[in-house]
Amino acid sequence: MANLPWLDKVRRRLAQSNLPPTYIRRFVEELSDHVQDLTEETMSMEANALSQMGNPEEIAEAAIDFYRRRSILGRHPTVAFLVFGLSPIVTFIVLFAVTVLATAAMIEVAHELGFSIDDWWNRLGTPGVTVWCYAMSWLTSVVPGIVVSILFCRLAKRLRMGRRWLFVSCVATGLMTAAPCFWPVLPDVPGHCITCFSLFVARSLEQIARFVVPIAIGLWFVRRTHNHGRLELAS
Amino acid sequence: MKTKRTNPDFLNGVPELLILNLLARRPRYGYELVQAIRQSTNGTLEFGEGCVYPILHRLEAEGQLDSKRQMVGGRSRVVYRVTVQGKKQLASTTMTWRRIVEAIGHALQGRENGEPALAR
Repeated sequence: MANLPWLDKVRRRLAQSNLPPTYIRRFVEELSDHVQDLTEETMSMEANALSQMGNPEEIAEAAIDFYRRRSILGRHPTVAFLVFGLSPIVTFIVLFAVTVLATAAMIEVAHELGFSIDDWWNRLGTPGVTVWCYAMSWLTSVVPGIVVSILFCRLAKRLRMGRRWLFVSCVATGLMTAAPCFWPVLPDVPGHCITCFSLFVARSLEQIARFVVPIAIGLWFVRRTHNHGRLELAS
Repeated sequence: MKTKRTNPDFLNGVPELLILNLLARRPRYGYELVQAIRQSTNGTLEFGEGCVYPILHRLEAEGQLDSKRQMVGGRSRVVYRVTVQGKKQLASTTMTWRRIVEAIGHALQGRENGEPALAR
């Protein structure tokens, strides 16, 4: 009875929504018992029993909805937005600041170790310095972006939130990852560099690429969850 | 001043009320409960029988129901029973429901200020 296609539809939908396997097992077992009771006690055909059970997708949606409403995040979209829409922005800013400071500290250490950067400003526009600027830009914005998007995707998965919230956090992180513009400007005092935050405007392909990184991580998480659901069904 | 809600959710919670009421009489498993709903409402309520389980699970998560897997009729079943908290909730919801039914009854009979409306 547990292998009915009707039950499989319910199981697959629940698995795709990241509900815990123990809950899915229990839910499907109860439905399976119910179908068996219907067929036995009313002596009806399995198809009739299933029509009495209702639409499998509606039942799965009701189970997902009820399961999510158990948590405060599921009941209050505003709280969910604070957690998955605004927290990634704050976390990104903190991590970005930490990365910039860590990078500056590394440069300082390199200088102390004898790697001279005194004539760096005289070499602006050379391929080496351009690569260095891009590397710094990616290190200081993309690395925090990757960390924040993985963190919030995992959180969304752990809290059994829908894909919607996972993507909200990835888009918020993507906007922040693309926002910092890091380019050297000839300073009055040698050794200084100006880092600019700009709003997300598609100024360059490089910025768009940075925006796409967290989105790609979100898609990867969704795909992985989907495949995981399928594996669970196959086993 | 507190704004009154324009859409009182008097229809929300009806399945929960029925479930708590029937389980307060005696513990039942899912199939038994659905049959009891059908009988007690003379088959008036039409619903997909599978929809009862998400409600049962939520009530259980809220502490209004308790469940235990036990053997019934030679098969292992999840049997639900009402907790003390569930009984309190049932009493409160029943009272609210009766008040609403009475008020709607008055309105449908066309009464205003306690007087029957004149037929014109």
